[in-house]
Amino acid sequence: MSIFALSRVKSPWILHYDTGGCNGCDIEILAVLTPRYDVERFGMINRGNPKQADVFLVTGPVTKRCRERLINLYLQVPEPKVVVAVGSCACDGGVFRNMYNVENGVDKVIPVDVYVPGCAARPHQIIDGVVKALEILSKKTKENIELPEYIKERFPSLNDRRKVLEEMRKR
Amino acid sequence: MASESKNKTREIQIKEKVYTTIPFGSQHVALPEPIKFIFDTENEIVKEIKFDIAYVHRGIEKALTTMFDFRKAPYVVGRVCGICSAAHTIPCAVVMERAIGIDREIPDRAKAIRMIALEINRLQSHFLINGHLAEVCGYENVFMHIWRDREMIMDLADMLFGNRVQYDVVCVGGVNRDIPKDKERVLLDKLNEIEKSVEFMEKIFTKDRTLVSRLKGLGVVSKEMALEYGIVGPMARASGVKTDCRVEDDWGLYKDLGFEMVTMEEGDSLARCLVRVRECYESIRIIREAIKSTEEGEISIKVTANPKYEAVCRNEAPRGELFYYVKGTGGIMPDRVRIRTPTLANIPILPEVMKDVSYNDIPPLLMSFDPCIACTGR
Amino acid sequence: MKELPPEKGIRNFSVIETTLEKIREKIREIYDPKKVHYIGVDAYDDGNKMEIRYWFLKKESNVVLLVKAPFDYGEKVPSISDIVKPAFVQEWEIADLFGINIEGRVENFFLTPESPRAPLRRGDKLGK
Ligand code: SF4
Repeated sequence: MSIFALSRVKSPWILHYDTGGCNGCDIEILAVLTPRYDVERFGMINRGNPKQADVFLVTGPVTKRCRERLINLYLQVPEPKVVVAVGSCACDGGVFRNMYNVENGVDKVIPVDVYVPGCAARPHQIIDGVVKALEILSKKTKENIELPEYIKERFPSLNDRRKVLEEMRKR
Repeated sequence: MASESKNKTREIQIKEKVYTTIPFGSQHVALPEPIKFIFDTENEIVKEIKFDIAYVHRGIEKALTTMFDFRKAPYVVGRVCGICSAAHTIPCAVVMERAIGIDREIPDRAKAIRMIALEINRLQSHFLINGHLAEVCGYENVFMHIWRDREMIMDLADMLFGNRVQYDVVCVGGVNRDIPKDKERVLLDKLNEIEKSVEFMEKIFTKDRTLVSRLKGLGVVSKEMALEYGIVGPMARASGVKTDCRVEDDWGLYKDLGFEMVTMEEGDSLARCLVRVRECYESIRIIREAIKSTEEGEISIKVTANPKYEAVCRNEAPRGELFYYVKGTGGIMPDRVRIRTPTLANIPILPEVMKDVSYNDIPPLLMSFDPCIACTGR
Repeated sequence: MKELPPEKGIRNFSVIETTLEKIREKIREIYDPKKVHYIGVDAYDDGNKMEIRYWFLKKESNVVLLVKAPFDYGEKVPSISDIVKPAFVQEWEIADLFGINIEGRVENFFLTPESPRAPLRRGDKLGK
């Protein structure tokens, strides 16, 4: 394991975005950072900056208005990265499934690595999910990036896809 | 030559006013929820505000009339907002009972348990927002303290209702589970501890020089303005408007237990914050009284009919007046459900108050308003 | 609902029915910030006709008041945000959700270009 990969796993930084859930899970994510659960013992800090993040925590069923912002944030997070969907409604829509303004889950929009179910997901579950995500993160490198579906849709020609991949590797 | 003229223009710019547009949100560290503001500032003084509050519009009002029957409705509206989940489930259940015509038959024990759920909900919400306010003022230490104490309330909710955020204890016709004797005792013990931490919070928000001087006189809402814009909840009470739906609507036992409204006259951010702190004492007192005044017993009645009337219910959520309207048709699903959330009433005054405030005062000002975006969007 | 006489179908609030032309006058008559609290705006669509509804609360007697006026699809509805100042946010909201042509409305305030048009409307569908 290279020194970069090691430090990445020892001190992952978190980016959190709410895509239209009920706040229940967002508040639990905030609670994870406070003294009772104290996720800083794993070296995690919540940073509002996508450019510095390794772990992307997404809550909510992805409303139509949040969709573009979610994709934008996902592309801004440098490779390698892991996405954790927190809460039932982030996993598959939950109660909001098939309402007219939602996309039924985060994995319809961006690729998801770890699913944390529960409405609302408990802090212990969230910590467990993030620790699982770190295992996945340690195996990911800049080389084996897989392009998500919506990028393949947007760039049908192979040449364009290669360019996008290069862009992502540079980050 | 060219550089000279450039220098000149720069000088002119500094002498004159510099206009900057600053976007705030939808993703930001200070915000757990997506809301977007665009501030047009002039030398760091905010002049114009545009807001976008609909990032979380999901379409719950329609789903309640097409996807879920009226018995499931309280659980669905709990997911409108996770911070005030019990505050949503109760009026929804009450309004359905009124639309059926059974609201007079609800047992007292069920009403008491509903009140306990609502007050526990209010306690954790007030702790949350006061901690968050301290954090955006740069007082991370206090934030951690308050949130550590908040975990006690979450534990209580977990013990009594089986979940930390979504209680789901209220159903149409009563409540789903009773509070047995041994848990009552634990509850009363824990309340003493919570009272101590409220005292700690009050001490900080009244004595600490940094916080007081930061929040005092910031974003003043006068009583006339409050009445004119029809604002609700702790915000209105901080400006001296006497309004509280707990005494105005009669779904609970608040009138029997005696209820004291907390009001202040100043109307600034500090007053809003202190109203929330002092309400915590009242909530604790109500929980104690509600437990003592009722015995374990019948907690729900059988619901056999479908909603057929039009009815309304007003409830005091942690953020203010929550209004529910239901039109039943005699079928299993209502014809129309309207949810007017407290933040929707408090948003129109925001641009008015934020005008001519320095940009670095915006985050504490916004947090003292306590906006809940998930409620607003529905 | 229809077979019941109107007083019986309605619980714990009172209704004032007007027309679209008179609704502004009526509200100007009723509304006084000191005595009446403005609650909200709502609309209703029964499949043939639409209705605009304004909710108020009389503070002294603690009675919820509904002022409503029916109108046809596509008719222009006057705004009351100069009489009741905070009304504009909810007016824009229901304008979006019902596809009502309210004065001064902002397109796509609550919906997004990709979402279905006027989702709460029953009859006379718009667009998609
Ligand atoms: S999973 Fe449940 S608690 Fe969490 S955001 Fe979704 S609806 Fe809210």
